[in-house]
Amino acid sequence: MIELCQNDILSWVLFLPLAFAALLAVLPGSAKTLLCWTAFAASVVVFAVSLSLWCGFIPGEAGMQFTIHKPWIEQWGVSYHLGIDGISLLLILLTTFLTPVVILSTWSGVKKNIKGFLILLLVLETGMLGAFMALDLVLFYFFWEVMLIPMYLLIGVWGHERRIYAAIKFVLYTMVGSLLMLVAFLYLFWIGKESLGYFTTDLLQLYRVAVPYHAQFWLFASFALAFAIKVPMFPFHTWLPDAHVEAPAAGSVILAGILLKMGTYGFIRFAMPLFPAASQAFTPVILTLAVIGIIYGALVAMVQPDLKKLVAYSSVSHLGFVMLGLYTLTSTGVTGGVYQMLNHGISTGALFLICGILYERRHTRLIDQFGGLSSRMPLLAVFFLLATLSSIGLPGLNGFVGEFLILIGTYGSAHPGYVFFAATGVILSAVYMLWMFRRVMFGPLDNPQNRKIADLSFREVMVLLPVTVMMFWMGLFPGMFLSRITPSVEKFIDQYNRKLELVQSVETVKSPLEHRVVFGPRGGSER
Amino acid sequence: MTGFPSISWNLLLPQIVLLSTALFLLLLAVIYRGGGRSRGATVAGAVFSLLGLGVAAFMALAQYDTVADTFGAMLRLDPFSTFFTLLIIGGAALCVLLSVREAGGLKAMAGEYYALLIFSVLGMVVMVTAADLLVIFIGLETMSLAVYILVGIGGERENGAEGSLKYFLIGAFASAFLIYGIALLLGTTGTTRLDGIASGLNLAEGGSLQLVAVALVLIGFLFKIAAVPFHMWAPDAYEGAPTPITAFMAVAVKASAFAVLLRVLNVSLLPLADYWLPVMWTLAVLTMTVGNLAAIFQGNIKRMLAYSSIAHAGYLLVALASIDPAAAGVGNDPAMASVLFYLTVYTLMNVGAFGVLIYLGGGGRQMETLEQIKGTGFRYPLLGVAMTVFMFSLAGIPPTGGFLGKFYVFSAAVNRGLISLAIIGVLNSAASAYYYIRVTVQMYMRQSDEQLPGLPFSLPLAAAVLLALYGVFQLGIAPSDLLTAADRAVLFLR
Repeated sequence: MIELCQNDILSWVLFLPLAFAALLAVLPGSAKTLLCWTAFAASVVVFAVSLSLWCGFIPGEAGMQFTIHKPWIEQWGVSYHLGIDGISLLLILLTTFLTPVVILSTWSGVKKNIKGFLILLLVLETGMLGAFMALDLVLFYFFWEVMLIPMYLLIGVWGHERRIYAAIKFVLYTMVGSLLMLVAFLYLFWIGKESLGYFTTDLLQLYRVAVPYHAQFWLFASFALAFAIKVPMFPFHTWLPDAHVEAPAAGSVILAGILLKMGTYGFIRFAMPLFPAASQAFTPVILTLAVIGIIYGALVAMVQPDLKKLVAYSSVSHLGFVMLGLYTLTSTGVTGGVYQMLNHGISTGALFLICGILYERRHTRLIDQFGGLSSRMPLLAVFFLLATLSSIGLPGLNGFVGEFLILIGTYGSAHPGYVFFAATGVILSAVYMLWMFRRVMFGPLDNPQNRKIADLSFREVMVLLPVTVMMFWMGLFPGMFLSRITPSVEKFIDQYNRKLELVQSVETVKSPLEHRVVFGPRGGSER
Repeated sequence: MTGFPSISWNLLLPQIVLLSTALFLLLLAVIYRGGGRSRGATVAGAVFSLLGLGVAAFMALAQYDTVADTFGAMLRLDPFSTFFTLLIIGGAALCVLLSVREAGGLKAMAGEYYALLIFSVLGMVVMVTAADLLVIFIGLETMSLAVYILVGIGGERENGAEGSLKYFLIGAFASAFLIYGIALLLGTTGTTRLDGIASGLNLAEGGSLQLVAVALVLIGFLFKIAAVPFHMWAPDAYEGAPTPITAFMAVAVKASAFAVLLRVLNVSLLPLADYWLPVMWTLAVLTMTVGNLAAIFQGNIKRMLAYSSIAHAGYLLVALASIDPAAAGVGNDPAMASVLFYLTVYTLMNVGAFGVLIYLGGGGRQMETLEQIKGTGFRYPLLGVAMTVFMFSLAGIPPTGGFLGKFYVFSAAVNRGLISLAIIGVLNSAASAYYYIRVTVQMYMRQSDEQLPGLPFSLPLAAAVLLALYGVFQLGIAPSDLLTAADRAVLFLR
């Protein structure tokens, strides 16, 4: 029996949140306390179950573990194929870790229809976990799009003044990108069929297909567009500030903490290993956009009067770092990029939680409305300072490890010049974060409305405490995380380079598919 | 000696059952009108309609594996025709469930309402089993005449008569095209039989006249599926008709017309594929784009769904443009099977969406425009969730059947190298998301200006919506059975 559970553990983690969402749906909507506790308990249970993944995971092994492979839509070669490596393991744990924190944080912030809110959070959790676990492209797309609906509703129903605009913008941006990616998926399947001899949508099998270069170019471009919108990379980031500012605090935390990682995860799991040659060709573009993102995000963050917008633009900057790390294609740099994904989830998650706590008390997000809060809210000041420092990358806290690895990796890569710009970004981040912290927490307490402001409640401490503990843990003992990431990263780079050579060697042979692509109406006599 | 053709009556059982049901319903109307018990007439009408449809479906199911010609090979029974017979009967049964409340408001007409509905189903079933253009024409006219009346049957509705007349005039025009095309085909190929036409087509001899004939026939069908530029009637007819009839037109009429189109294109017109494939390509692009762009600007949800159904006809035309003429005899063509799958999903999600609209209108307050449905999502949570699912399915977002339907259609297009068509299709799909999610915006993200009344429970409506909801999820998560059935059905087209 236990053996059976062991085999299906990923399915359990994946669908438990959904089952709990169904449970919440039958509870009465008026029993607020019951709903909140049930949802919290549910998410803690999911986290506990997901910890067994951490325990059962074999650190030295680079390949997929806990795999489940069952036929799903046999006619199309689509299978229910789940599995995790070191990269997705940690992203899954980040998801299951942040969800209870977020649920706990919403207890007082969400005033209406909390039942719907909690159900959507749990459905969203299943969507996110599924996207991180899926090893089949159709399955991945399935979960990728499933995430869209709850997030759209969270922003649109529970958000602030311009929530509807932000929600629709979020959906349309994401959909345009992902639908073009869907066409690329379909094209890839047919290339795979010609190469493998059978139709499959399985990622691990499609990894083996050497896609002809001219096709790679377009396929990579459409994958990269979908993922770049999600990351978001400059210049596809314009939906992010709107979505973040208008989303409720919990929505922002999930959005920044996990959803953005879908984009970078998409690059490392799909776009780069499937199309290395095109990826290689696009490298200068992506590195440049990443660096522009780092500096542009930091500069724009600096001048934001709105606390949430500032943190949102800092995300653009930080995710630029992640992209830089991934495209160093050195073991150190990519590991740093993956680590930075986790760091960003933790530290920006904490910052958005704090924004939410402040907003609940003052109903404003404008920085100049605050000032001198540290004397009234000493507890918050501590947590806020730690989150700020973690975001800046102070040694001893988690942010430092990621940024440091990325910078080292970039320096050792084929494009060391980008280190200069990235390091500038590090300095700028210290400037805008510390300046923001000073304006909010220090200085004279001159706004009378801030005089009566209350410090953190016990519940709020319990929200911020686990996140803060993680900042220290990941900053002081990175080894236990890195040892799980590195083998998978090394395998990724190895596969990438080997496939690069393979594609270059077959490139001399003309692709059989070349003549089949027709742009425009045409008759049926070509065969 | 030909004489009177031998007829295997047992192969015609579904049609016979439908005909007797329709006649019985007419009789019922007479009986009940005398007694003046219109409420009883509505319920009895619905019950007997469902019964008749159920028996017919059972008969069709029993001959699922039968492949046979009858009526002097004027009718052809094969898994393809049975698939569509079942789809049409299923769609019609759901529409009967949607009708119970609406037909109650029609008082004197209730009996006729159901009789006409079943007559038009009979016409459709004849259409999809026809093996001869003339029989198709007879079926099409039986269907159309009944639907023209049904569109205008809600006497009190101001635009019902307008929609009905418009539909009738344009429909009559389309029938004229069709019959003229059939006549020309008969003249140039010497037959109206579908398989005979294929061998009779000879462009070297028949020349441009044959092309004109084919074009006229196709125009006749394209009117019925409301492909752009033959779509003008659809928004008015959809808006003016009683909502269950709108649903019926959107699903059953469209499904039967597509069935005929598939059969004619594949059985009769395959030699001309070089001519009609680019036409389908162009029509698909036009139909998707015009349908979606026009839908964005609609404030009335029925009218919006009318344009959305035009857009969905466009997606289906993408599949027709992706038909592989070379796939004949070498197994199934995904393009054709995708039409069958898509139409099934489309039936369920449209019936569901219209069902929710009808249900919302039950509180004595009209619920037809985006203004009117404000705030209904939280007031009526189950209807809100159902509508959200249907809207996301129409937009093609998983885990709904709408997603797999689009996936199948576009994968067929990519399979044939029609990348640009697939890209135009998905961009259209993204544009359509805008107006579909606007329905959920109104339901969940805006407040109603006034107190929303409680809604009386309606078992038939609830059953229809729940069935549709179940189907949309079933086809979105476990579609294998339907895919197998669709694959098998299209094998019999060549």
